[in-house]
Amino acid sequence: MSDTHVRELLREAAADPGPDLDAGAVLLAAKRRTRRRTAAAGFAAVAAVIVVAAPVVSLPEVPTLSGIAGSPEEGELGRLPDGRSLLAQTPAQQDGPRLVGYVRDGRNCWEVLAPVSPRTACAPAGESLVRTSEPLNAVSSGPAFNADGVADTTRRVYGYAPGGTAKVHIIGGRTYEARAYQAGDEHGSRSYFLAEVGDDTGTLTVEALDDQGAVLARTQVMALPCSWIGADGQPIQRPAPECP
Amino acid sequence: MTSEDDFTAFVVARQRALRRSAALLTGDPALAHDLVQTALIKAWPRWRQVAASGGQEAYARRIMVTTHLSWRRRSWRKESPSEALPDIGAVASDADLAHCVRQALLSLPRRQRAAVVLRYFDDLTEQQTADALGCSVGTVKSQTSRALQKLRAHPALADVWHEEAAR
Repeated sequence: MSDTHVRELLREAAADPGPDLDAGAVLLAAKRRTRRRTAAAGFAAVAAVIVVAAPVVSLPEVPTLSGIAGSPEEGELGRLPDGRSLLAQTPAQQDGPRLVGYVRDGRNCWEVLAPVSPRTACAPAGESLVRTSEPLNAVSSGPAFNADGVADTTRRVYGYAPGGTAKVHIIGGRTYEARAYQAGDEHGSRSYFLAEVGDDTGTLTVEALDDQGAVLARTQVMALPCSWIGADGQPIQRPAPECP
Repeated sequence: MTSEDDFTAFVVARQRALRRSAALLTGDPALAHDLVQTALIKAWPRWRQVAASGGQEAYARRIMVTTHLSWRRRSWRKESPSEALPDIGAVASDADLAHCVRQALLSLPRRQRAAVVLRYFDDLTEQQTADALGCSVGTVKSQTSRALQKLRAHPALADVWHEEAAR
């Protein structure tokens, strides 16, 4: 395996990175984070927090729709960089605001800002809002075995789905209902799903559906015959005939 | 040029390259997006000093890599996900090949993956890779060597290596 060949393979694997980051939004978030850290280090700033009523939209991944806006130390938050009026934002988390709401063309919009990539979704006032830009992500696991024998016999497909997803079903030899649940990680709260896929192996199709059953996103995942867990905790692939 | 102008110009000019590296590190374009943005935000406080020395790219890349290494694993860490495919047939298309390479990369421990991406995708020298990872050149050599060994043995890439050997 030559160095040149490894380079070629990595270039092949590097996906198109998709839409660009908004450089202005990144700078704004960076300055806000710096200012907040500076303040936290020694200044007991009295921040008059104004609670603003959130637009009437539901966004399942985000637990709180009311938030703060326009505190004295972050006065520019009353307006987004491009001049849009800021209505509300979720409470600041570790690395800055996660979500802001504003009005665009008479519609309520929510936009996720730094530290996650900007993603926007809008809906007429009063209607449910689904963040369809959230990618569908699915991976498979198990059954897993270690040197002592069976560690986990369950074969699963799991991942996270677009917000507002009513259910995720997996199409293979059979259809499996997936359990949806909310969970938080370092990127905020997300809608996860988990399905146990029995004996089916090979390519499974995972679809995320909205309340009306319309397909929001679709992806494919391979369900494996078996996997082994090495001494270092990393999965080791073995050909199917070696499965216990 | 002010620090703000320099920072903004850097983000515009270099974000795609950083995000392509980040995608290889994380295996997820959305996570890559988040990783690059988080790294850039972290880089801002020292941007003026860094820009004065002309080391913006190395600095941003180092923060990106260390941030990636520090991110705790996802909430499904106990699931031991196995995305590599032991039963992959002949490489049928560029898309399949890219998928196989990504799966093989994701099977590597994070530091080894970072070493491979920095050395062979970003074309950094061993010294530059060591700086980005915050380790010695010797460690870079050993991590890279182990990573290549694992990639060579990875079932998803078996056909690729066989084809290369046959040429």
